[in-house]
Amino acid sequence: MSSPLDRMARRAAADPFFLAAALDRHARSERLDDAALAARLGCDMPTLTMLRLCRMPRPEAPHFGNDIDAIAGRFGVAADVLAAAVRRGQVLLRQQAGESGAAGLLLAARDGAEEEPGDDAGGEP
Amino acid sequence: MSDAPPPHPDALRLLRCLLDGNPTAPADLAAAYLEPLAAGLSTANPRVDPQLCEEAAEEALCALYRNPHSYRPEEGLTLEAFLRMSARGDLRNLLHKENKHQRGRRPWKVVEHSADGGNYLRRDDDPSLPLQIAEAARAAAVPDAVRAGLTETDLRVLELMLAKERSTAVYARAMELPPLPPEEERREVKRVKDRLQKRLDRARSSHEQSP
Repeated sequence: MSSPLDRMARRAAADPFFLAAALDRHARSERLDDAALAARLGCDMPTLTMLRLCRMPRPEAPHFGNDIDAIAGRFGVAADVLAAAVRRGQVLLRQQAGESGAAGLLLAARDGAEEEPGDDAGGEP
Repeated sequence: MSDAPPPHPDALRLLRCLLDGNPTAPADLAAAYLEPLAAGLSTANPRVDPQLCEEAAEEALCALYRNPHSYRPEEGLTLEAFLRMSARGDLRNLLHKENKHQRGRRPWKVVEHSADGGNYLRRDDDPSLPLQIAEAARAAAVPDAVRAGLTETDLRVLELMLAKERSTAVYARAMELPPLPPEEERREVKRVKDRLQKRLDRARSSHEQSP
């Protein structure tokens, strides 16, 4: 049975504030379940929960390295392995955000076109 | 009845880590506070779904993560008490949402033809009943002359004012303000507090003038 902390860590995957969001995207892209993700990171399940609840490392240098070192040092995982997983997860998150942003723009453009059909600069031929 | 988690010996150290931007601070704070906070809410509200209590505890923690300056130790409130108060507000909001959702799902005919008619929301099937009772008791502390015509949000703000709450963030959450720039949030909170304060002052002065 999972603990409240486990459940919070799972829900944190939907919130890019948490490291869970990057780890979740990474795990999905590699088809890793929780146990496999923990094995990849070289930690046990309770440590994976704590990792997930950490703040997402700031993507820009030198903060990224500092944040990864702080997390890896605190929870005893290999910084390079954690950094690789988080970087990949962050890239996937950005892609996802970009896609939804682009979809949003397309929808907005379509809505605008539907609202103001007469304003089409091209006009009727 | 106390739904307070026990004071955490590392409270200030954990808060300092959060303020310093240490990325492990949210995990450490959650490990220290989530379970006792959720358990405290469940104990104080035995008829509320424990899952909702847990969610409210999570939301209180997340709000602190995003705005660590919303807690000011110099105001005399312990971190535990601050989180507890914040979680109670979150639970109230979750229950209101839940209630609306349930109302939306219930066919109108069932409501109209049920034995308890329009009052069913006050009955045993309302998950927010325990909180409503507690709120009613607190609201009773607000003079009738002031309470008349106030919205539910106004009453929440007024209760906080009477409890001498000072945190803008706590008021903003009670008012269910959308995310705003700090200055705008402060202005909006101040506007509502000033309006309610005038109402309180008027009620007090007319009470003093009455024979």
